Amino acid sequence: MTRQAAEPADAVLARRASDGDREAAGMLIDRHHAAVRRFLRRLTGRDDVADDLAQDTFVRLLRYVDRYDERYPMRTWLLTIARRLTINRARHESRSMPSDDLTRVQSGGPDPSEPVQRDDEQSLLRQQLDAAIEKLSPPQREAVVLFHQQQLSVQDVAAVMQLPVGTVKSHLHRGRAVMRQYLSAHCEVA
Amino acid sequence: MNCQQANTLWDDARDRALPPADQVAFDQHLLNCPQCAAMWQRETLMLDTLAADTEPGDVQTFKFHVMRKMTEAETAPEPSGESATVDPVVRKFTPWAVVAAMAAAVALMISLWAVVEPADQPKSPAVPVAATAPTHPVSVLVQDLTRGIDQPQRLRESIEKTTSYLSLTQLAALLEREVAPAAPTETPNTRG
Repeated sequence: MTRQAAEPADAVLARRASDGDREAAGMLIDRHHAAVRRFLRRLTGRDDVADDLAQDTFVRLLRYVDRYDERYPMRTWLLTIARRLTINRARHESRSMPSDDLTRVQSGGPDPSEPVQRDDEQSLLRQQLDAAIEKLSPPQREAVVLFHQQQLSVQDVAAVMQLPVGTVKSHLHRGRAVMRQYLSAHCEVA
Repeated sequence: MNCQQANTLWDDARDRALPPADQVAFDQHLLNCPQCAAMWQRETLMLDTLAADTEPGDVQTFKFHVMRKMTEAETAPEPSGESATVDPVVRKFTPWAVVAAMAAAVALMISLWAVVEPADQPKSPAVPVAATAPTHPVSVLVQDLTRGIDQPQRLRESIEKTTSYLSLTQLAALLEREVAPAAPTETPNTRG
């Protein structure tokens, strides 16, 4: 039996959760927590901050689940809420921190100047990825992560970021160019 | 195709959005240019790594914290108004908002009291009890009541006009005070 046949759709769970069904709410969390947490970890650079924001994201979802528009994917709505919460948190934090970065909550990401010490190729790749993403501007980072990590279409990325498709493409292309520049400067490519 | 030309097609190639002829030319360039080929491979590996980001931790602990926050949120004041409907990220109540709301409520109560108790507030311009031509709906109603008007239609209209200003409780109190026979007013226009 396939998953679609065995498990109720997001819309069904949303309606049940709206009626106070906690089991349905739990199933929505089970289904979408990983995507939201991975997205927020890339946006914030900190696992603890990301998980706190992800929890708040699901609280918002469950409080206002009756407003869920079933024509759109639940994950897109969740990522939209998560992104807004991140921006709100960063604005709040920036009042007490000397930083003009509205998306990066705290500078908890890897230090690009830190020498690579791990031998494992996969670890090396992850470290380079972390450092390259650190170089991106907030909208570039959001576009790259939503497109390549979350595997959203450009149209869905535009919906989450509430930007025109052309602007999203521009952020995506420039973001990848910045990452290539980082690879050229810090990695032996040839 | 040289490296510069390949670079202009790079993103469309990455998005698999190149026309077939350009795609063939781009692929051919990668075969002939070790540097571009190496960059393409490295970027591909990096983006694949991003797509395969590490799975987050335990869902049960995460779910517990969500439910705990949910319970806290359910006991917190429910935000209302346009902000709650436009944006799902609803602003939380802050102490400032609570203080402002309380201040507004107190100001509203004072202004209502001033309107409903005209005899005690002679300096207030909003309480012309015995004025010759009152215009405020509440003042008109008070005057009609104190004069003992016997036109039910006008009295009903007068009462209806006050509904924007008085709650039912306040209206009932006003009627009880003004209509009750044992409650004489201080104005010369009392009934009787």
